[in-house]
Amino acid sequence: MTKEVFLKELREDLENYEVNDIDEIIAYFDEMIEDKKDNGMDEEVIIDSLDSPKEIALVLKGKEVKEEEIREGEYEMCDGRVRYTKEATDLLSISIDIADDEIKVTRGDDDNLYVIFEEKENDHYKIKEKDRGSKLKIEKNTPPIFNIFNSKERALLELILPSGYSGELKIETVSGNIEGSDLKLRKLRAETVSGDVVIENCDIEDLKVQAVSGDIEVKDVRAVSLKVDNVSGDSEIDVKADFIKTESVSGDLIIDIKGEEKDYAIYYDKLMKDYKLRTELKDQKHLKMESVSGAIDYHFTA
Amino acid sequence: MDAQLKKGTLEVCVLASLIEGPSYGYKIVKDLKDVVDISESTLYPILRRLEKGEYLTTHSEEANGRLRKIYEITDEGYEKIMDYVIDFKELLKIYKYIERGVRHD
Repeated sequence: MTKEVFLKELREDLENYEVNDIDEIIAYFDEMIEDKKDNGMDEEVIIDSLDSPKEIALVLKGKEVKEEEIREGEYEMCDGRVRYTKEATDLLSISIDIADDEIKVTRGDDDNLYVIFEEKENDHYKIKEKDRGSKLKIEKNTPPIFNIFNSKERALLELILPSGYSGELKIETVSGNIEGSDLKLRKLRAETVSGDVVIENCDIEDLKVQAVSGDIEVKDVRAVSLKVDNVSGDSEIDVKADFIKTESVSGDLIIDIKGEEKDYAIYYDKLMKDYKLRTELKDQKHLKMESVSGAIDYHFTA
Repeated sequence: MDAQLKKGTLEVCVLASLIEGPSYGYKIVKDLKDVVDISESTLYPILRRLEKGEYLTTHSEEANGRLRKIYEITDEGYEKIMDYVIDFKELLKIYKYIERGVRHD
């Protein structure tokens, strides 16, 4: 392969992988090859000794796709509040992963999404962007490497996200309680181990709530698809949804569905007793309930 | 070598190649060939990262009738090397402890 061909292919591969600063990279390799030639090496031999253009592009792309700290200018800080200033349309997903802090997500009067953390310990949050700003990740950082919030005592911190967010929101805690209210989201995932989850007065297309020993309450929620998983905690659900699936091991399930019973295919599975009341038709609304030893109680309210 | 250990070390190594004076791509690769396993492709992102972190600066010079990119270490770059050396002395203590049981035949 000649230098010309190598550099041409490299440019193509870099463009395909959408790597930044392509001109600089080409100049770097051009210079490297020319210097080696000046030192007596044969052009073909030099090109052979280099990684292939594709490999180079992959490596450089890989080095780019790392999480980046949010730079000042993308957020504003004021009185313990952090306002993330990026446009809602630029965000595809938000994921929040904290151990035992309480977290509330709600819609403010200004229609912005408010994420409110109550810190249990003097730890620090880290807000990162991934995939060139399309994904936001918020995590507890122990020990702190880069801290945005610096609180000496227990603090109530707010993260304000732009309104009109239509991506996915995922919240994970270990023992922290999760509270979501007045939200209008396309996709929400709330997962906890021992915390409680309360989702109230929300319009969520695709809602999934999971707990191990915490209790789950989903109230006044309009959804297309709802999935609730609990192990030993109790789950109380009051929704209007087309596709509902609830599972429990030893916790109780109390479900109130806004709708007509006749519109639903109902599966009721209590270990060893499989009630299939109707055959599920494709796209038909359905209600699936499973429990091992917990009680199942469901009602339809037209 | 363990990947994590290597990552931080390579960056400082590249900086160290600039101690005697400013250098350029080909020369850096040559100087480091005997010291550490580093390819032209690996060097590039390291240089970019170091420049972003302001551990080195770059400028262009004419050489052999073409433009050559010159890398020069900054004060922050020297500090980074010093930090590494200090950290390493700590590591050396730990290494001596770990190594004590290894037989040298």
